Amino acid sequence: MPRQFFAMVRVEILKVYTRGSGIGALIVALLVPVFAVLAMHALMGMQDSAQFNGQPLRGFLQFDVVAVAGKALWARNFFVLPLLLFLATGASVAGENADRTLRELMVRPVPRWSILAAKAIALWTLSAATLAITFVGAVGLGWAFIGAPAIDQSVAEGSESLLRLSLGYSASFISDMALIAIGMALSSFVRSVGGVVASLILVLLADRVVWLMLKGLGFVLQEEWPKTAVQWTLVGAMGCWENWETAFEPGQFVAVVAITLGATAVAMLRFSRTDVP
Amino acid sequence: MRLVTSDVPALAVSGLSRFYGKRAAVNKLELRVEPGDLYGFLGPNGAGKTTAIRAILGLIARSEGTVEVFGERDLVRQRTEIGAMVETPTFNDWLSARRNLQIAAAYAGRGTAADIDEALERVGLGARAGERVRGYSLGMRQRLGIARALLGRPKLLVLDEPTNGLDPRGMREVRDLLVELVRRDGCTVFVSSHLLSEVEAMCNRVGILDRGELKAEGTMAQLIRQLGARTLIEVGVDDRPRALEVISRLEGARVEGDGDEGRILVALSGPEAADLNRVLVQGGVAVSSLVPRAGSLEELFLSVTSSEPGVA
Repeated sequence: MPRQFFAMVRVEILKVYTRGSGIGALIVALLVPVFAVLAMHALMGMQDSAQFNGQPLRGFLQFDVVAVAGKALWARNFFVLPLLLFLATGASVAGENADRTLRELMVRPVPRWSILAAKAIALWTLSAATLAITFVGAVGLGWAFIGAPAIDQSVAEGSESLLRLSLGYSASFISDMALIAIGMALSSFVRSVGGVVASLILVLLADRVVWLMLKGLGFVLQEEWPKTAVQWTLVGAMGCWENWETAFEPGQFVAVVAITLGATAVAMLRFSRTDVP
Repeated sequence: MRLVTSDVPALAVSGLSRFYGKRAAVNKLELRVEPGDLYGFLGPNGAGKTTAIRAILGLIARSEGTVEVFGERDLVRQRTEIGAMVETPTFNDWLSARRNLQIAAAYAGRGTAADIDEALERVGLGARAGERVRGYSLGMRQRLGIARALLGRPKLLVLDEPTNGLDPRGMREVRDLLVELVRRDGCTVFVSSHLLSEVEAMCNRVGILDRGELKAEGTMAQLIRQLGARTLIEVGVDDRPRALEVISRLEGARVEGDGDEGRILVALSGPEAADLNRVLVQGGVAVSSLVPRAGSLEELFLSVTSSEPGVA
């Protein structure tokens, strides 16, 4: 590792947090808990009067801080924020390759892998910052406007359900790392941010097709292996955070870590051999 | 381990080639830049200068050949000694000039805040260092690119067309800066250009590249000698038609065109100025002046480079 590695990470953080995608991610991370709390607060006011499928809302919605922060996590991971994180990744590698600022880094006395590593760490901090903002915002606002953690039937203690929620947010970070690694791998092949996003859409579409086929096979064959294989699709693996309320699926974590390592290896290998315009 | 002895060249390129398919953009390039040189790397557009520089800097893979910088072969360690600017410099436009240099300094592992200020002052951007690069003109970007290359006082500066986009005053300032860097700071400068006057004005050694191949290399005097034993001389006469007739009869003499102040420009290959004077006088032509003209870099350049457009 070059001795100036931490200085490299520092300036990459500066770039990531001053780009439109980085600023946008931070703003969205802040808005998500605000809207989640507002929505839950509105629903809480009508929990006895309003019905859904003939059932009062109280019957299937929990109104406490953990539930709000859980909904905020779902909203955070739904679409916009992962897209902004992906855009930040594309801008950091493919974007810099396209506008040729990457070349200026590559004439410096550092190995190429370390440039990619510095960029990845800076992007991880953006992911962590957005998760922290959403978590703190949702818990703080939720506690103030919705109420303390309820006694959970499965875990008995409210504090334990908060811990489980924290693990859900942590699992989200692992999922983001995979997303960033995939973004870097695609960026090492495609030399524009638009191209990277288009490639991701194609990859996710193909992945979704495989996911549907495996699901269908599992249903038709009534065997276990398609269910296990589903965990190795991008959608399956990167959804490792989704089971925070019940029990995490270890297979999803193995898959998401493997995808992260594999995509990182592809990015590093490709990046170290590519001609720089 | 790096050798630090005076006889180690600042830059030694040996058999460097870069192929795109079967086409050689750079073909078996041999270069030797001595410490303290201000080396001009000349070539017409498309000759392969930028490809050669990118291969030297390791931005693109080398198909063949080696590059040593002060005796060092390891690419990463080489770069500790190099400050480089390739083509039009690019920046993170939304950040200030100072921030951009901070990024470069972080990656270079050298260059304090004071060094950054000094580099900016040196290229005349000190007063506008806090402005976003987005608002900079092409000339200012070029200066900022040079400032970035100067960060941390590299021993070897590799600059690709550093005066692109500069007005005549800016070009002059950059030339003076490069000469000062060599003379005052002991820096070695390798500068590519297609502007002959620029190279002639500042470089002590020159290499001429054409279609990926080095056609000539040496000091300016050596290169002029390579033109052949040809002397250019301007002759002032009273009877021009008669003089042209006499000159055409002198073996080894050829009229090249018009010289200054109505004189005739004559190229001599064999006979000397005295012979020309004698035959003119013997032919009844009064000679008012004989002005020797130094062979120019332009002449050499045109003689060794192809007139067809380059391919690299």
